[in-house]
Amino acid sequence: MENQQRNISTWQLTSILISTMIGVGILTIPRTSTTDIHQMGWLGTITGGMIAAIAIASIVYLGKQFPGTTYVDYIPKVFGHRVGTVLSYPIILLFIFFQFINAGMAARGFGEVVVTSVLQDTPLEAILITLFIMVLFLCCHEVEVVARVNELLIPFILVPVFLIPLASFMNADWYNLLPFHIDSWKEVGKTSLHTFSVFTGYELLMFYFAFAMPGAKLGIAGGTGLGYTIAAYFLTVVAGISVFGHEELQRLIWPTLELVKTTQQSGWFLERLESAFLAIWVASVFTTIGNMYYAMIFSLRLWFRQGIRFQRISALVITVPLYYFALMPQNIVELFSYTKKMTKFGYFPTIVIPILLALIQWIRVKLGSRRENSKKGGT
Amino acid sequence: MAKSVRCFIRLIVCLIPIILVTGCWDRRELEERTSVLAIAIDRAETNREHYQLTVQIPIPIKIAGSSGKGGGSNSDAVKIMSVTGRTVSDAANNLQMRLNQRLFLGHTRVLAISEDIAKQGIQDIMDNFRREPQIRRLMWPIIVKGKASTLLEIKPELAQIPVVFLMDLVENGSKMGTIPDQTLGDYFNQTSNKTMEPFMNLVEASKKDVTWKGIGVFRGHKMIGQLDREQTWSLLQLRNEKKGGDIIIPLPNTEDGYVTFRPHFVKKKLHIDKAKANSSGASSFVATYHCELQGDIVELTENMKVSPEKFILQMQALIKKEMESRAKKMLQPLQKQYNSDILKLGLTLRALHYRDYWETHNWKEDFRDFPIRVVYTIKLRRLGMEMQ
Repeated sequence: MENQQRNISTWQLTSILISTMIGVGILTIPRTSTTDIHQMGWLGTITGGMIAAIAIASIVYLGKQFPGTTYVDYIPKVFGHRVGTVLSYPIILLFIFFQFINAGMAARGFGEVVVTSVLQDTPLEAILITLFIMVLFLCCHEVEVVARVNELLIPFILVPVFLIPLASFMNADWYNLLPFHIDSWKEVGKTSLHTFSVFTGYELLMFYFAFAMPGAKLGIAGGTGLGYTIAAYFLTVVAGISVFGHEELQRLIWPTLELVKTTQQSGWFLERLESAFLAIWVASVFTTIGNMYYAMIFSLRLWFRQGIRFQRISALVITVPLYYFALMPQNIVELFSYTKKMTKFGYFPTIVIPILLALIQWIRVKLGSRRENSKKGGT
Repeated sequence: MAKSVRCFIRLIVCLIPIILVTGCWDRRELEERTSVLAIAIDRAETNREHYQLTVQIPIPIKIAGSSGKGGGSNSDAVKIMSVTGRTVSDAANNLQMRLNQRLFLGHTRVLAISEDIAKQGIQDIMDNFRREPQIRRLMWPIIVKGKASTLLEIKPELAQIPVVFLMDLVENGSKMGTIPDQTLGDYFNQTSNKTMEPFMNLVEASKKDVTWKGIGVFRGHKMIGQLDREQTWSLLQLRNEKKGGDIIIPLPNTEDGYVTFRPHFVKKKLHIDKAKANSSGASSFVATYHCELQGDIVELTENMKVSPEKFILQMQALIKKEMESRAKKMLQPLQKQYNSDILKLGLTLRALHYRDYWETHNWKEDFRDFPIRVVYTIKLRRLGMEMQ
């Protein structure tokens, strides 16, 4: 295995985590989290985040156990040489496939928002192609560039994501958030699993942790990143419920966008905030899709043990199926049903596998059977 | 390596025009749009099933200050056009056929609906406004007595564009606390919310000007009645802690004496208490609004001939009595006649008494019989520039 550059700092890891998680989901989360548990929808963001927290903790543990190696390399090590190599293929494939569909659906969601709300006469294809070209450009570089792009764009995501809910509290009616009670815990569980989908993207840490500087604090990066994201989603949902009420939220297709539209008050320095919001949001979607696609391509490169050239060519080639995949849902209803299916499929690569891997590794360590002590080096 | 980079640069150069071109599908210069400032919806005169859509379009060149010519009489600064159609969007399409540029609703600030249509229900009209992304949730929906188009045809003279005049009227009114700040978004939220009913501002327009008359009370999507100014002000005090207008009360024991009280600060507290179970056992909750008004006396047309200390007490008692009777006059039709909770009382009930009240009651029906008490506390602070 070629020696990876390890130069991503803790803050860069945090920004990668935040900007990957915050993407298209933030526009729909006030609706999706309140569908079943109504005014208590904000609870879903916390419980959903808790599920993600367990998975992130597992990934951090794995990252510490195998510093400098990505999941592509450490999965065989976890399972042991022979079994691991065989077992790792379907897992890596699953992981890569999940990144592929997640990136595709995120791109499609982004395109839908732009087409329904601002550029109504622009073909969806044009928006997707533009986005993919940008992503493709990103994929032609080393990981360091991805880290720097994320670091550069993170202020554009951090600030408005907090500012918008806080500003919209001006026309909030707090009684919309009450009564504080839960009808059935089953619904809460359902909502958490559903809301969990907005956190997907953290599983990329299985990949990006490998490039962390020696001494970078993985736990802190994972913790702050997740904490921030939970807070952002929580605030957005609270703002959505308190401004619109949970009944109205069910009727809004992009509730957060409507929130931005109603937030402007006379006397605000900016009227028509939604154009600014959309412009900023492009950055957030770009980093989401870019990070996912990049991780996917780079995983392929590592898997096939190739160089940057392979990465560039495969990035270009795979954009074509990605583009067609993004165009597969024929209408907005189908898109939402696709994302629902994707969420269910996503439990496997994002929750089950990291936790399972961490568990097995933990048991291995406990049993004292450390067969591999070398930090790098292939199977 | 170098070769692939060069190849890549070539690729990028080819792709840049494609990226730049994407902006053009929706490119629309400002002068290529016909901005509509206000929309009025009436029933068509020829066919009662159809809608008549009237729009007000500003003419940029005629607006004073925009170019050398400008000025002139204000009626010229806008163009008013009427079309009919089976639905709102059908009418809008018919309107488009008569315009040289594309219609743009992003600047629309007022949606006027005739009382006649409001009374028959406006769900079908609102659907288009909900779907259209250009429509702002912050625009003002207004019910107009008589024909809605009269609101767009006013010539206020004080402002060049009639709609701007109307907007300022509503905006300043809501700043002063006399007119409810009821936007289209609020209307949407209130129709969806199971705990409350919507309302809209109600105005009457004549040739020259427009008067705010109160609010139209809805139940579901149908307007079922109205509250006049004084009733609306009571509502505003209890619902939004807005101060409402001046309160003019005839002085008792005088021939033609009046006192005018101007509230400056309003504080409201809503208590929902469990009353002692009465004999029937049902409906054991009582809502009590405690409302505190602080304000001044701004007019007193007859000398009361009492000591200042006594005068203050007398006036406070008089205003308290008047305000409580006004609140009653507001609640009476709202509960018994319209059975429409625009007070947001249901929201509070659901929030605070979900288990013990909300689950077992159907608020849409039970609002009618819910006991509501209003207690005012008047704090008369100053008497203006006079000593008494």
